[in-house]
Amino acid sequence: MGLRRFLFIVTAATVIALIITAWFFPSNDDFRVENPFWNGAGDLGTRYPVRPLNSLADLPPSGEGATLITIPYAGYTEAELERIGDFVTGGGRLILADDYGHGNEVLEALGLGARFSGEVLLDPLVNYRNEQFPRIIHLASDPLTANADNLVFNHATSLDGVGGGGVLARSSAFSFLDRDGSGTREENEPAGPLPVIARQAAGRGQVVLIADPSLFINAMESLGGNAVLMQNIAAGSTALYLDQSHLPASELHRTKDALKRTRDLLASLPGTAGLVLAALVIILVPVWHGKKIKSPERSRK
Amino acid sequence: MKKLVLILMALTVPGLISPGLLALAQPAHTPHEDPYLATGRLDEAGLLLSYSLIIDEASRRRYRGTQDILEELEHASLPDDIQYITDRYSNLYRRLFTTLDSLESWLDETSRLLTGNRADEARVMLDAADGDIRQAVSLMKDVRTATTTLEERFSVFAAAAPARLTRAHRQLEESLARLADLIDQLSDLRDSLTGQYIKMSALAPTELSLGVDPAAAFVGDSVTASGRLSDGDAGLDGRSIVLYLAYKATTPGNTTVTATTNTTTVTASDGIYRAAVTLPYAYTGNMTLTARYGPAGGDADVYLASLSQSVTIEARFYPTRLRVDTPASVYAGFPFDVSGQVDAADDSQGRVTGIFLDGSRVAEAPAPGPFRREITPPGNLPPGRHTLTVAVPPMGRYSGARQDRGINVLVLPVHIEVQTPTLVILPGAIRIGGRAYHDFGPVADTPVILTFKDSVRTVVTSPDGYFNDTLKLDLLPGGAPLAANPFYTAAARNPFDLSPVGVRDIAVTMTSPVTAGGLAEVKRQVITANPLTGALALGALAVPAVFFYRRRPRTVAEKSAMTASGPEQPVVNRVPASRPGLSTVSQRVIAAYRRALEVVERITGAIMAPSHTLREFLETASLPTAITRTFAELTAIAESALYSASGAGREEAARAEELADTIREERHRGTA
Repeated sequence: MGLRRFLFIVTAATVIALIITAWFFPSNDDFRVENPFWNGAGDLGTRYPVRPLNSLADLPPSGEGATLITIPYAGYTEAELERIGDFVTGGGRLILADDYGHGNEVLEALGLGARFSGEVLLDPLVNYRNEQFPRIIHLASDPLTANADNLVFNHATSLDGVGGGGVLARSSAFSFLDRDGSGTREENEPAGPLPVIARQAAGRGQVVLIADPSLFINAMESLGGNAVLMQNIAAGSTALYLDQSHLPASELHRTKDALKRTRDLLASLPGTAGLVLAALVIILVPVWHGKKIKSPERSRK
Repeated sequence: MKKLVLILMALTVPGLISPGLLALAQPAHTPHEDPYLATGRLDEAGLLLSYSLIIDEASRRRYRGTQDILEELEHASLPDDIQYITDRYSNLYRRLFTTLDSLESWLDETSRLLTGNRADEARVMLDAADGDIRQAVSLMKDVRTATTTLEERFSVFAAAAPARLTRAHRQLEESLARLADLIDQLSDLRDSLTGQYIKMSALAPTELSLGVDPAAAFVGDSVTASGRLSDGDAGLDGRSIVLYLAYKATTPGNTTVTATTNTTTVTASDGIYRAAVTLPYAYTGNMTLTARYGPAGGDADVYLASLSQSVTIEARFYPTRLRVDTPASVYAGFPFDVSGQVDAADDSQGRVTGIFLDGSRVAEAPAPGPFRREITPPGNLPPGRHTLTVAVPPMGRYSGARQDRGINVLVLPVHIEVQTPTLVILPGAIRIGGRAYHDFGPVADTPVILTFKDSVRTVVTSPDGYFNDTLKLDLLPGGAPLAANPFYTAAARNPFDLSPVGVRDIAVTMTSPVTAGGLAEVKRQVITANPLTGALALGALAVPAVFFYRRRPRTVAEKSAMTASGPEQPVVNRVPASRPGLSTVSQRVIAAYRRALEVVERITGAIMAPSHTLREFLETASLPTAITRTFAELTAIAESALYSASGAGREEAARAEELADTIREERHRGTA
């Protein structure tokens, strides 16, 4: 075997190995329903009729009775904000789950006064394991929080400007916003109870603000009443959408997308016919080629 | 060189893949962490500061708030040994704050009573306050002891204690000092009120009598309350008397509470008073009337307040009787009858009987009289125990009536008939149809989930229960929507399912309102054929078959057939067994060559091609050394026999046979 032929085979084998790895290796992108690991939302996708949206253009114009969950880790275009506005004012419910992302852009576009504070919420006492996992024990009587004893957040923030009436959940009296990053409460740092979930009316619809999107990841679902909250969100919706277009996408995710498009192409009728033809050609050519090699002319050469 | 390339590849490929593996361990951007890997830690200073916060709330007399915060503290994530201590520590605070709250209430009430010259009642309150003060002082002592224990457990007094912990200790001590001050203030207030009570005890006592006529009356009617206010001998006229009527009332939630109405009147000459008291529409039997005198204006410096004996009034009403008949069990989504009878006098016509299912009004009927209504419970009503309530509201002298009945909501079994094809060729579409029905008729407008391999479709039944849809089947196994979530594409359950032919299940599932969340499922089997994997399998089989075929030595019969196929060629496919014009001797030579050739082909694996000459085959075949010369000589004799004009002689024929025999022997001997 010549070196060129050897290099070709090794390169082809490497490419195939990489494709197989990328295809079968599960996604590990945060909040994605394709991700079965701790930081994915695979459980959300398997347990509830969530429709993942890769573009807000796929959102139905009328949101009557429907719920859109968006985790704003990427900025929104004017058209996207308009789309969300139409969805909410048309009677839809927007679950805006953010901590340090672009949630305030959406709130501003919807004309709401509420804001995500963007400051780190710590609770040194009422927590799960440590202060970064505040346990939310003050839950208002509301269909959204019904049957939930408490919620566990993960590196959360708090809400500002939500007023009293619309607050559905508050942190404990021992929680505080760690403005200086010291990990301990200073005199000038706001102390709990602080609002972390609130409902705001917008047009015919409503916006539910959750000051921590990590509530939706697999590892958090079984903690506290997080699963109950998700059940309540799903129960009150005729359709449930999860906006995945504002989540950070990894190279693995982009590669998987490209492979999926290729697979869809091959699964179509022309693609399949071509694949069958190619498979037969690849199998039969060496047979034909081998016959010629054994001929005396080739032997004499 | 190849080894070098392999080594480089072995280093490069893991290098390419490993960054993805690292991403598993920790996300690059998102601010969250795996809660199951997070380490727990106790913030001792935070715990002390929390108690400081609680005590400060109490020092501001916000006792309710402190109880709330102490309740929050029960949710604190603490190690078991610390939890045990803090539970008891918190309990001490809880008791202390309850005592302080109670103490403040007694003192407030004492102050209010003394303002109304109600010295006797104030005495009782002061006694209760005395007891609370003693308890508060005792609990405060316990709190201080427990604080020291907790701080020692946290090593607050150690030389190496963190500054933050020391600060928290100081803050807690300051808060405790403020709490002790509060207890002292309340104790001083108690002393002050006791002084007021002693001073008030010197005022003149008053007496207040009360009678009611008649002692029994219908609700909505009035009774006359009368009595006399005196300072022991002389009646006191022109004084305000307040009559309190206490009775039991039923709330809309069907619970009974105590309610009160007030009527105010003024004493006439000789302290006599009289007032009409209207009985409220409360259908619970007896009511209690009490009269009270509170000195006002100039009387406040002269008289003490007085309270009459309580008088019971029989509140009458006409009862409404209700009889209800309901089935013990019903099916969600299917009607059932509720019937019964409301018995009351005819002049209570105009009332409406309400029928409620789990608190929601589902039907109504006029009352009094018999009633029968058909109720259809919602199709999505969960199976199990539910409450059916029939209620008749009160009207005037007629009381209301209410009955709560428990009914069992059952799941109605659903039957599904399915039609599917027997054979499916991939890729393609499979048409699935059928009908869903139950004992009472078709199951209409209900989603049916059709599942075949990894393909899932949801179709809704028509009004007559029929459903029909087509499942698109891909050639390659791939992701497919889940049954639980048709909008979510999961990875293929079996990505290596490339079987060319197989028997598969088609599942038809229905989660119907009729089944009340229950699942009805039917499975049918179909045969699938996959041409792609079939072609691949055939191809995979064909390659070794062809290879084996080409390597296999020819049988004698095949060789003969090959020889017979080209008699006109000078050198044809293999060596001819006979040929026109050849002498018998030459034919002996050719026969000897053929025998030797067969041995050589077996030894070398080289097959003489149709286009080979004898000499070309000799050059092509890699002969073992032992027979090279022998076969070369035999080849020369055979060529001579075939092509020379005179043909082969007898000696040559004998030599050829000898050479052929030698080659065969060499083979048998194993030297060739």
